[in-house]
Amino acid sequence: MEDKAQSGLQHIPSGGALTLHSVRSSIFARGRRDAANSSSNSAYQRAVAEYNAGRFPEAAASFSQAADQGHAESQYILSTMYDAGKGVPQDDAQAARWERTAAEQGHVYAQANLSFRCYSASDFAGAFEWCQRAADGELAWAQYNLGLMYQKGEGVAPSEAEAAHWYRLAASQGLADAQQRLADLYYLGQSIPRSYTQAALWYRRAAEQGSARAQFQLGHLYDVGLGIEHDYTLYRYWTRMAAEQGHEGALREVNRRDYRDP
Amino acid sequence: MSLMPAEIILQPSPNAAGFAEKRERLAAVRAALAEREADIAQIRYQLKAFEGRYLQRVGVLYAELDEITARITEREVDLYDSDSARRRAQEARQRAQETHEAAFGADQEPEEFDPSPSLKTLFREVAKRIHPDFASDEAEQKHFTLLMTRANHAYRCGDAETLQRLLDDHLEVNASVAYEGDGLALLRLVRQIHHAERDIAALDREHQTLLGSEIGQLYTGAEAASREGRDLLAELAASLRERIADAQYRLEFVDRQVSAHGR
Repeated sequence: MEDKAQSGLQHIPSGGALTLHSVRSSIFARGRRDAANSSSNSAYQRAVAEYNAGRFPEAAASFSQAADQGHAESQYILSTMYDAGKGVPQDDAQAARWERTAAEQGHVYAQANLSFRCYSASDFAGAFEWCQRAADGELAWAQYNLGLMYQKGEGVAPSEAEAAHWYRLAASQGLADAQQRLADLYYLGQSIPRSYTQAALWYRRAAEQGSARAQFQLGHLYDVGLGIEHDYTLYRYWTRMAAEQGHEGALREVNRRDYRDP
Repeated sequence: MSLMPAEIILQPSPNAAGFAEKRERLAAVRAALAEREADIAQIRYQLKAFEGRYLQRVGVLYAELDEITARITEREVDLYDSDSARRRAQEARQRAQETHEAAFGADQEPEEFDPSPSLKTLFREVAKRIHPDFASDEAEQKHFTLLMTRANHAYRCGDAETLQRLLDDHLEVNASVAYEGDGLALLRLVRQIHHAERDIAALDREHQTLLGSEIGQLYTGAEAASREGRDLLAELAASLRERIADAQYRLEFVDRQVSAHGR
């Protein structure tokens, strides 16, 4: 076959040559990055000890040394120290610089902070991009924030279906706000198929963590028996819990009920 | 170069003096070249061995981690279908495949040596000119041995460019020798020195490239750690095992979700 003859001619044996530019270079790059960011970096260890002893200027100097060596965690901590003016004079430019360096190395907290910095400067596209990277890095509140940006259409075309996906990832990690938002989307059933069962399930998880809106909504579901069996006692329990936190709807409901059913 | 008359008297001819000087120079440069060549061969060998250890102890763990991560994202699609869930799953699966190939690919390389006819011809042309058996003296024999090693390596790697350069060098050096004469012999020496210096520069560049590469830097880091009594590959493997355990936990969690209230 023609193909075969051609591939025979073009075949170049790799011999014992090193695989510098092959598919392997990325697996080497990961190892090098992970090694550079190892917690056994001596400047980093010294910095942590100094920080814990409250010697912040010394800690900042040591973090700075490790940061120059490419230690992402040190770069991130250094950026927060510049932000707070801790051990170093407050300096937004330095904070932003180290935050970006760490973010570009894949440090998820730095990515999330950078996203917030972009957001504060009304750079929604930048905020979305960095938030997405932090969310891909499994950071729960970045996943939640990404959900919010999808829901509000900030830096991206609005999509509640996408929002639901990111809320779910954050909710699975136990973030109460995300659990409540996901339950809302199931309850409303506009962009994703309505499911009172799912709504009740996620409201309950958020309610157990103290989310007032989720407690109120869960109470409501017990009251009307949607997604769960009607249960007057639990309706009263969750509504009162929400009211104790000052949830307006719950307060109205409790006042009305106390009048009617003391 | 202007020479004092007294020196002219002392020395048979200015050409002979220049000739001796150039011969010495060539010997020195070729000695330096041989040393560089040995260094590079050593580094290549060390990096190759380190590469194998790295893939065996760390690379396979990256492959395992990426496989679990890919499964998690695929389960998430089962759990809740959306464009970004599918995009994540596709990306994670592709990455897992790439990592797997990178980590286990070595086993699938049978190292079959099947040079093209044109490469074979080129190699023969080079070999018959620089074979150590054809050297005129001991110094040349030593140098030819080195060139022959290089030619063999280039041939095994399918590196036609290096073979062609070896051939061109030889032709350039010997083109004028047919009209033997002092001046031409000197020119020949100058060319040989030039070639050796150029090769040293090329080896220095290769040295830089090797140590500057990702695997080279990793190797340098591992060597530095080992001087501190640390085992960098073991540290990397330990932290990866933690990440794998963590990913495994997340996979089981998403599995339970799928079976509890999947689609």
